[in-house]
Parts: sequence; C-alpha cells; structure tokens
Amino acid sequence: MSMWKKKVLPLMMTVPVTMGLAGCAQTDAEVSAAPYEKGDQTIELQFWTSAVEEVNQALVDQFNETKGAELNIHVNAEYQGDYWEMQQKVNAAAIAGTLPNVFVDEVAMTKGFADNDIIVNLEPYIKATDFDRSDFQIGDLGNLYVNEDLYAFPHMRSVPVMYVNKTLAAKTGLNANGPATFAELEAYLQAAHDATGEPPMYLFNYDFWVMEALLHSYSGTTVVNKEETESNINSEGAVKLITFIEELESKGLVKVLGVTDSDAFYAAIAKPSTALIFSSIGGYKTFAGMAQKNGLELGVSMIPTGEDGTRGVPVGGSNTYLANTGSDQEKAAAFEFMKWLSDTEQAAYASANTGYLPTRLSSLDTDLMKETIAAFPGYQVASDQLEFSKMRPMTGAYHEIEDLMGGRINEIWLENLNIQESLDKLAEEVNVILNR
Amino acid sequence: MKTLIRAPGLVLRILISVLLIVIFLTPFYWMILTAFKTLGEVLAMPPKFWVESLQWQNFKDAFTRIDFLHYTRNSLIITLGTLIGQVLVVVPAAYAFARFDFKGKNWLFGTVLATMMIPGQLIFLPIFVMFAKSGLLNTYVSLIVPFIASGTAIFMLRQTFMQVPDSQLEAARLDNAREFKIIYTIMMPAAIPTLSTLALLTFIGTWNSYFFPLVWTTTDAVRTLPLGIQRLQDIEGLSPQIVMAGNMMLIVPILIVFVVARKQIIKAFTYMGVK
Repeated sequence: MSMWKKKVLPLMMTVPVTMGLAGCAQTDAEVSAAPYEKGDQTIELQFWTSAVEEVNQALVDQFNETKGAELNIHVNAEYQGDYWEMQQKVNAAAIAGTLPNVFVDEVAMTKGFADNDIIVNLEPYIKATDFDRSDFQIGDLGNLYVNEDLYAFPHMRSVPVMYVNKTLAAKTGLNANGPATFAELEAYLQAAHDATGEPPMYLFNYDFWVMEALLHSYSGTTVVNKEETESNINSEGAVKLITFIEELESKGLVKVLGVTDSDAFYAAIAKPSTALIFSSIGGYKTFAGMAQKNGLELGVSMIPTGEDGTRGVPVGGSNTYLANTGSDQEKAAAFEFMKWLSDTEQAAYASANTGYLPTRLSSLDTDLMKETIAAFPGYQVASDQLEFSKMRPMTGAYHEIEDLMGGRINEIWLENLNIQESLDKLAEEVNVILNR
Repeated sequence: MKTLIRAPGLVLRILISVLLIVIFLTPFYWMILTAFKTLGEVLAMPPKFWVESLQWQNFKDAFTRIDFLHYTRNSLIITLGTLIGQVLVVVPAAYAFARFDFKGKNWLFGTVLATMMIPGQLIFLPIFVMFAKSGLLNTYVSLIVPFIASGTAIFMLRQTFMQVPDSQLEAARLDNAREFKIIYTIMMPAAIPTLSTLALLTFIGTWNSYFFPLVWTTTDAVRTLPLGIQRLQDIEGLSPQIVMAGNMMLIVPILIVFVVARKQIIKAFTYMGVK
C-alpha cells in the first residue's frame, strides 16, 4: 500500500493543479436549486462508497426498497477502496467527466473538492427543501463547511479514543479506565510493563489522526496555524510531545510501529500484554470482538488530558458529497438520497453496525442506539468526548502533509534523531507544500 | 593440496548461498505459515514458526468473502488478452526493426526505447480521459490495449531476431516464402526462449498489476484479482490469516507458470549471453 501511495503521490500533486485550471471554487450560495419532483421514469444514481462496504451496501439496499421505490430513485453503490484511492478516482473522474452522483470520502478533503468544483454547495438544496441541519451531532462541524456554506453531510464519523485492556488492569491492580492524564501515563505503562515484561502500548501514527489528538491534548497545539499557511509541527508544544513519546519509547514503554506495520498494530490490540492503544472509535466493535476471542475485556476511555486539563480530539471519518455532475433533476435526486442516508434511523443503523459515532442527536433516542450503548458503553465515552472536538485541517494538500509528517516523526523515534532540528526541517517541508 | 585450499572458499560460498536462499524464502514461508494459522496463532508472542493444525478454512473464507471466481476470470481474460495482443503487435514490430531498412528506422527505434523510460503514472491520466471519452472505461479493452505494445519486448525480440543468419532468410525467400511465413516458421521458433521469457514477464506483470486496474475501474465488472485481494484486506484486515490465504491463491498461477517456463528462461539468457 505504501508503494501505491508513493506512485500515486505525483498524481496527487498534478491533478488538483489541473483541476484548478479547469474551474474555480464554487462558493455561490445564490444559485437556486429546485426540490426533487418524482417523475415517471426511475432515476439511476451512482454512489461511490469507501470503508465499511457492507454497511453502506445495506443502507443503499434499504433506500432502494423504501424511499427510493417511493420516489422513483434507484441508487447503485460501487465500492472504490480506501479514502485515498477514492480521492484519486474522484479527481480523475472529474477531469474525464465520469463523476458519480454522490460519493463518500474523508472529511479533510472537503475544501479541496469544493475549491476544484468537484462538489456542489448544498445551501440552495437545503433552502429549497427546508432541510433541518441542527440535528447533526458530530462535535465540531468545521469539515462540512467551506466559507460558511455547507458542502457535505457527515457520514461515518469518529474520534480517536484510548482502548484499555481491562483484564490486564484487573490483574495488575491498575485503574480499569486507564490513566486520566498524561502525567499518569508513564507510571501506568511502567506498572504494566513490570507485570508482563513486554511493551504495554503501541503507537501507529500512520494517518496522523491520532497525533492530532495528542497534539491538542498533550500540549494544546495544532498541526498547522489557523489560516493553514504555516506548520506548527516544530512549535514548543509539538517538540514537548515528540520528546515525551521518545522517552517512553526509549524506556520500552511505547512501541512505535512503522507505516508497513499495520497488521502488527491491529494484532497488538488483542495481545494480553497490551495495556493501552489509541485508535478510532470506528473500530470499536471489531476490536472488542478480537479482544474477546483472546479472553480480554476491552474498555474505552477518553484520550488523557495534558497540563491544566487540556484536551482535544479531531473528528475524522467520512462525509458524503454531492458531485457536480448530471442534470438538475439528478442532483436533486442525489440530494434526496443524501438526506435519507443522514437521517435519524440510518445514522443509528450505521453507528450500531460499525462503531462510528451516531451523526444525529435524535439517533441517540432510537431503541437501536439505546441497546447498543447499553451493550457497548464505549459509544457513550466517544460521544461525551465530542465536547472537546476539533476540526481537522482543511487544506487540499493535507493528505500529502500527513504522509510526510507521519514518516518523518517515525524516523525521529526509530532512529533517535535530534528532535528540534528534525522538526524544524519538517516544518520547512510542510510550509513549502502549504504555500505551493 | 589445491582441494584443501579451495575448501574454505567452497564452504563459504555454500554458506552464503544457503543464507541467501533463507533470506529469499523466509517471506514465502511466513506467508504460507500465516495462511494456515488460526488468529490466535497469528497473534501469539513470541511468534510461532510452525502450525498446530492446518486451517484450510482460511482458504474457504478468502474464497467466499469476495467473489474470487469473478476476479480470477477477469485476471485471466486480461492477462491472456495482453499476452496475445503482445504477440500480434510486438513480433512483427521487432522483425521489422531487425531485418528491414527503412527511412526513419533509427529514429523510430529510439522512440520505442524512449517509451521504456516513461513512468506509467505519467500516461495514466490522458489514457484514462481517452477511454472515458470513448465510453470504454470499465471494459476489458481499457485494461488490455494500453499494454500490448511494449518497448522492452520489442527491444529483446529485435536482438534475438538479429541473431538469425541471413542465409536462412534468403533460402526462405528463394522458396517464395512471404514475410509472415518467415516470421512464424523461422523467426519465432528461433526465439522461443526469448518469447517464453517475455511471456512470463508479461504474465507476471499483468497478473500482479494493481495501479492501473485500480484507477481505471470504477465498477466490479472488470476488476482483477489483486484488487479483489485488496478488498479482502479491507474487509478482513483484522484477520491476516484470511488475507494471507487470499494472497497465496493469488500467486499460485505465477508459480505454476514459472516452474513450467523456467528452462526456457535460462536458455534465453544463456543464448543472449554467448552471442
């Protein structure tokens, strides 16, 4: 996969440039949109999906059998791979004129898609259909908006959480909820390490999402400045965090895994000697099932707080986007599908069957979510953590920056490089990309 | 005395050879081992270098979790289509470059060689747009046609065709043999080792191709087995034993073809070497 990324990287740089030349950002909320009117003929829509393929397909089947049949809309779902593969395909399809009507992709891509005229401003459709957006409950809604206009609906949204091996905690007399603060983390890990003789925590900063949470929580800093013109990765807070992890790593309390070690990371979740893991709540049910197979009980806690109680978690996962393609009637039909997909029951279904957050407040009142939260209390923890939610960076080049930072910071830890010097150099590289 | 002096060198060479074999075989062994393990064995620490009992269920799971037959059929069609297409295009082209003089020949051959230096990722976008505009996306054609002309294959075959003695061609022409007959009765039999090597390289390259099928397909209709295995990884990412079973099934055809063709490949390189 990493090879594939290396090969695709040049495209990531060239395609947006081409797109930029081809069109300009669509920021005009004045454009009118007529609400969908059912016709005699069935409208066929293409829906490109990414991640949790089976749940997306099940939702589409439900739509086609119910609301779709009622409105004469039929949706064809096609799985396209992970978020980065989807981004490439969407960029290429925009140039070739083969965009699907609706697609799912990662939240940090919203601005890039909007700037390149790939997706449609949803404000006119919201106005035309009196759609109530106030029920969306995903913490910080930033990655839905561009210039204060809504450009996406939340879909499979998640936050990083701390998974705690409750079985090991009980055996070693540690707190079953894990450390509450970073100040307690080292002692907690040391106790677990003393009991097992193995690394008690694994860290995998492959998509940099967890690192964003650590930067927010440990040192109250961000990856880039507010205007997204300059990197903060060499700031005092970032240096403190990287140094803190470096120290834990050198004491054998944290094992840092490289980009190619994803299997080892996920395998570590179900290891009896692993005390803590930071990962997405989206994997909650799967991780809990894996741990249970190994006779372990896995708990979910909030990411620890830093000094003075600082805490912050980026709300990641995916959005659904209305593509800038097709006739007005097709766009209106696609918006109907997006509305249905984001509605209370569907949001509850998606959440209960995956581990992702329920994206509507009202879905918490459904029987399904009540049963799910009762059986899996970690859902509530993740929902509560939204109080500290933060927006992910919006720059169109963020994935490229994430890849760069993840690799370079891993090198610092694994090769014991000088931290300040390496981060200064990294910040310069990131700045070049931000200002390209 | 000489034998005694040579002995340490011989032992060292054997040791280095064994070490290299171990280095190259270890990933294969690990893949096979993982494919037959239970999840518990995969997660075990320290890792186990054997299995308690062979888990054939992993293969069944890999086969049923994705539409394995559909992806395999697509891979076969695209691989065989590319192989046949290459023979039809590359053999006459190489013959023309090897045995004919015509205006612009050197310039054209230089252009063919230059294509070997262009990364595939650079041509992906224009070809993608071309197929999209002509409505050929998500068809076998879009995954076969761009790969049937190969600079490497033309170059290798041209070198082989140039080694065939002029007298054989003159004799055939005196017998009124047409060019295509010369190609198929004289040139191709003489180039069987080279053709086998090229066929194997094409087979492996096309069978394993990931990037182009990935970016050029947006429906499952023509998606190939490597994409199917990647999908298996997406679905079963937390069950590496099932993904490894899928990977094993992916490489079996390549191993079979390699075993069948290995003598011809050795011949091809020996033949080119002694000339």
